[in-house]
Amino acid sequence: MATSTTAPAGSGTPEKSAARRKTDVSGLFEKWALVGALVVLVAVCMATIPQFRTASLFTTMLNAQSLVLLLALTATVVLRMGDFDLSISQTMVASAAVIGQLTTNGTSPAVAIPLALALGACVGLVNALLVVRIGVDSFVATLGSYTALAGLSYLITDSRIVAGASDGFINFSRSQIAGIPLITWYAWILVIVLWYVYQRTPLGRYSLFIGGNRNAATLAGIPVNRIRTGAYVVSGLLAAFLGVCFFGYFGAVDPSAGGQYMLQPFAAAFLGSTAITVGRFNAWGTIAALYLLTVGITALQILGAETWVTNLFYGLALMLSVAAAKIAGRRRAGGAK
Amino acid sequence: MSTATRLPVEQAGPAPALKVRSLRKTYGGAVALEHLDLTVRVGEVHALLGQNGCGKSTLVKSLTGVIGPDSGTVEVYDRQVHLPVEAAHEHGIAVIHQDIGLVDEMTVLENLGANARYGTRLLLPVNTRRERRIYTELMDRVGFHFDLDAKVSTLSPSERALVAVVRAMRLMPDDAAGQLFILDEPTAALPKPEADRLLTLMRTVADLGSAVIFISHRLAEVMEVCDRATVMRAGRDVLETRIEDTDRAEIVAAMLGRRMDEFYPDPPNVTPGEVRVAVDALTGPVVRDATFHVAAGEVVGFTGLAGMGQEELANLLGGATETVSGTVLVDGADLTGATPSRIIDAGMVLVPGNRLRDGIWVAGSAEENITLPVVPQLRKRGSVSNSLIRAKAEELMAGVGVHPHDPERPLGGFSGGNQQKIVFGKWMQLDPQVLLLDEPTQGVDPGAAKDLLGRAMDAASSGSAVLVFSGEHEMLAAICHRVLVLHEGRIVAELSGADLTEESLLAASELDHAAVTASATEGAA
Repeated sequence: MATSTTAPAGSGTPEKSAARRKTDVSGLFEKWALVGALVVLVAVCMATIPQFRTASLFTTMLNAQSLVLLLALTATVVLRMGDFDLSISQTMVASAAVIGQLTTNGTSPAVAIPLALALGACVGLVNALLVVRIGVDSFVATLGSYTALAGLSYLITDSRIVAGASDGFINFSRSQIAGIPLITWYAWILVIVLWYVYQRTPLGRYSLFIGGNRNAATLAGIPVNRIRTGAYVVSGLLAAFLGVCFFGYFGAVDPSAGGQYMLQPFAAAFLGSTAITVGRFNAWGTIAALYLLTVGITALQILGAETWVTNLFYGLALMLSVAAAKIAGRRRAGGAK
Repeated sequence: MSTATRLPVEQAGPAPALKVRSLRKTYGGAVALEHLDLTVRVGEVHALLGQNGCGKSTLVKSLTGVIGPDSGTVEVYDRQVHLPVEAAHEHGIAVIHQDIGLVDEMTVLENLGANARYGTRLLLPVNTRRERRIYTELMDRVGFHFDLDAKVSTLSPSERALVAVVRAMRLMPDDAAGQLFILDEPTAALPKPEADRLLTLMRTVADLGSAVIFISHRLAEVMEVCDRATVMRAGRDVLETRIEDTDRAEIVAAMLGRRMDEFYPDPPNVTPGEVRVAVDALTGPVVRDATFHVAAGEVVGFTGLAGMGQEELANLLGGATETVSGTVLVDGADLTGATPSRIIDAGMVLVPGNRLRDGIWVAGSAEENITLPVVPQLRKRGSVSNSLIRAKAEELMAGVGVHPHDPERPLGGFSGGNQQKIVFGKWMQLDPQVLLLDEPTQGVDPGAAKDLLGRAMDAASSGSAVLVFSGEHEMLAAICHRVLVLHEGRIVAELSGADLTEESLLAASELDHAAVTASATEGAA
C-alpha cells in the first residue's frame, strides 16, 4: 500500500504561480489585442495614406459613426443579460418620427420629446412582457417589435421623409465642444456611465450572472426578472433618446432608416465583447471595436472602395474576431483538472 | 511500496484491453499527468480512483482525444493508438459521462440514432425497421430491454445510462471482440437501487468480453462491483491492486497520501435548541403535506428513492419552485412562498443538487461565482472593488481547498468536485442559520467530502439547523441525528438513534414494511 506522506495534490505552489503567470500574459494579450490592432491600423494608415494626417479626417471619422456607437452601447444593456433587443434601431426611428411629425406641425418639443421617451419606455415594457413574463425567445419577440415599429414609423410620417428640424434639435446633436459635436460627446459619456455600471456596481455583476445562468442567479437571491425588465425599459428609453439625436443630426426623419441601423450595432457589440473584459459585453470594448471598424472602412474608402465595403468589412471583422475569441476561450478552459 | 504493486501487471496472458504507459501531460507549468501507467484487462471492471483534481479527467480526455498528451503510449487490445487519439470510438473506446447527453423530449430510438454512423446514407430516409432490429440485437446482448418508442424523459436514471451504453455500442466496430467503456461517475447522483441496476449492467458488459473503466467516489460500490483498481494521486498511479486484496482504508490512504480513520464526521453532540425550521403541511411539485420541525444544532436527513420528493423538498424550501399550500417558518418568520432573496436574508441557504442548472455560471470565473452573494459588501467608496473581490475569493477558495487555486479560471475548467467546493464556499461564507444541502458531496472525493460535511457539522454545533437531502444512505446514517424518509412526496418514516442505519434507510425507502416496522421507532411525522 501507499505509505507516502506527501501532502495531497494541490500544494505545488511554484508550479502554480508559473502557470498563473503564463495565463496572465496570454490573458493580457487577449484583453488588448483589439486595441493594439486599432493603434497599429491608425499608425499604418497615417504612414501610407496622406489624408490620414489631417485632423479633419479624424473628426469626420469620430462623428460619422456616433449614432452606431450609441446604438451598439444601448444593445449591450440587454445583451449582457443573455437576451437580444433587436428593436432598438426602429425605436430610435419611430421616436424621431414622433418628434419630427409633431414639432414640424407646431407642437412644442417640451411635449414631443416626453412623448417619444414614453414610446421608448412602452416598447421596453412590451418587450419585457413578452420575453420576461411570458417567456418568448427574445430574438423572436424583439424581431416582432422591430417589425411593428417599422410599420408605425411609416404610419406616423405618412410614408414621407419629414424634414425641417428646428435649430434647437440640430444644435442638440451638432453643436461643438472642443471641435467635436455633442452627439459624439453623448456616446463618450454613455461609455463611461455603462463602464461604471457594468464594472463597479453590484448590478453590473448581477447582469453577467443573469446572462450566464439565470437559475443560479435567481437562487442566489438576485431579483432576476426585475433586472431583466429594467434592462428592456432602459434599452427602450435610450433608443428613444437616440431618436432625438437622430432627428437633430440629420435634420429630418426617413421612416425607412431603421433597417440600415439594425445589425451594425450588434456587430460592434459582439466584436467589443472580445476585448477589454474578454467574453463579456462591455463599454470600452464596444467603443474600441467601433473605432477599429470605422478606421478600416475609412481607409478602404479613401483607397477607392465603394459603399459595399462597410458591410463586407463589418461582417468579416466580426466573423474573424469572434472565431478567434472562441478558440482562445477554449484554450483557457481546456486546462481543467 | 506503492511502486511495487505495479510489477505483477507485466505478465503473460491475453493482451490487456488497455495499456497506458508513461503518459505525461502538462498545462502551462502545471503537471497534470506524470509517468502514468494503467492496465485494464479484458473482461474486468476496473476502478479508476483518486481525489478531485488528481488527473483522472485528464487521463480520460487523453484517451478520448479531447486533449493530446505530451508523451507516452496507449495500446488498445494490443493495437498501438497514435497520439493524440482521433475518433476514439473506432478504437473501441466510448465514454459515458455523468450527464449522459440524451435529449429528453425525443424517443429512445431517436436518441439512439442521434450519433449513428449513417455515412453516405445521411440524406436517405432512415430505415426504421433496420434501426429497430440493430438496437434490439444490441439490447439482447446486454440483457436489458426497454421501449424504443418511449420518451427519454420517462426513463429512470439507470435506463438512461443503458440507452447511452447501447448508443455507444452502436458506434463501435461490430467485429471487434472487445470494447472499452469508460463510465465517468455514472452513479454520483443515483439512489441505491438505481445505481445497483447500473452496476449490474456494467458487470454484464464486462462479461461479454469488453472492459469497463469505472470512475467513482462511492467506494462501497467500487468494492462491490470492481475486479481491480488503480488509484491516482497528483497525476501518478500510486496503487494498482485486486479489489479482493485490499480494503477501503487502504484505497483512501493511497488517494489522500495519508490514513483517514472515519469517512464521515459525527453529528455534533449538542442538545437540540429551540425550533428554527417549522414546516407545516407543505405541498408543492411532488411534495405532499410535509410536516416537520428542525431545531438549532440538529442535523436532519431526507431521503427516498429517485423522484420521491427529497430533491423537490429542498428546492421548495430554497425558493426554487412554487409552493402550492402549507407554511414554512424560519426562526418565526413566515417564508411561505418567499423569493430566494427573502429566504437568504432570513438566513436559510440552499446548496442545490443540480449544480450545473442551479448553482454555477460555467463561463464565469471562480472568483465571480464564489463572491456572488457578497458583491454589495465588496465595495470601496461605493464602487465594487476588484482587489477586494480577489482577496475575498482567495480566502474562500483556500478555506474549502479548491484545486487549482486560480480565481480567474472559468468554473467549467474545474473538476466537478472542485465546482462543488466553490458552491459550498459561496454559501457557507454567509454563516447560514439554516443550511439546506442537496446531495452535498456529489462528485467530491472522500477527503474533501469529510471536510465539507465537517463544516456543516460545525455550523450545527454553533446553533444552525442543517437539513441534508440525499440518496446516499451511508452518509446520512453517519452524519444525521434523524432521517425522514419520503415516498411519493409524503414523509412515511422517521429513523433515529440506534434504528438509523444504512440498511434501515434503504428498507424504509423501498417501503419494505416488515423491515420498516422492525427498525423504525416512529411512523410518519
